[in-house]
Amino acid sequence: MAIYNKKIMEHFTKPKFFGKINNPDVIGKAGNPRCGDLLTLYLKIDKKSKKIKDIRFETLGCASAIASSDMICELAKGKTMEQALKIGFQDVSNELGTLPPLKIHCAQLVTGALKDAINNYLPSHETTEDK
Amino acid sequence: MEVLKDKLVAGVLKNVQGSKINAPRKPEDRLPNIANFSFLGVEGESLVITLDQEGFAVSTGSACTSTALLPSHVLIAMGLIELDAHSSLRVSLGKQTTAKEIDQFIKVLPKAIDKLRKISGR
Repeated sequence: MAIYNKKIMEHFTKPKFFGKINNPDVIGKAGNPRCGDLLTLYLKIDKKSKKIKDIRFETLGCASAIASSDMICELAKGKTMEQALKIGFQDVSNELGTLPPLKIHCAQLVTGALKDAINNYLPSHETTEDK
Repeated sequence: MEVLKDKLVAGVLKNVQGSKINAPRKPEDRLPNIANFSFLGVEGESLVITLDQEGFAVSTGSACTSTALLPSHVLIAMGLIELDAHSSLRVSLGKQTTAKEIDQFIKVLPKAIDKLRKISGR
């Protein structure tokens, strides 16, 4: 099928980051049943450095949604949450060698899920030192 | 051709847990060469591409709506919930389709679905 390039097909057929993390520090969600894509990200955060130690995804969606999920995990792993918040949907699309125009929303979906996770984490883990 | 389609439908429903056929209640209202299924926890397009790699050309819906991202309006009108409509697979048989190909399809399909369910966690 010609609509996807080799890189997207690679991340779709052999995703490295799929699955669940038991006892994640935080999860992020995006998508809705109407568009047909549902995505959950599971994150482990290093409390001291605030770096994303581990990240996994579960995605019900089309091939580009699965490839984008795998890519956001690859991009976010090892970054601090502040750095991870700066990952834009264009970064995800570019790393995949550009998503087809009809599928750009998949990149927006996965960056949305990562932002959701980070926003869920921050308020509950702010210490007095942080304030 | 209808014999082959019945073989396909029976084989799919038997081999894949969480599968159902989307069809009118009365058998005489069904087309002899097309079967439409829904598979819980799998999105249609990703299944089509996985099966394409195995050598099967199938679709999620009619060719006239293949660029739309919305679930099939026909399946929605038939009363399917959106998630089931997004998880649909349409298999069309042709003059050249053989019983051997149906057997092969029934063998490959559960593996493709298992793989995608692992990714979706459903």
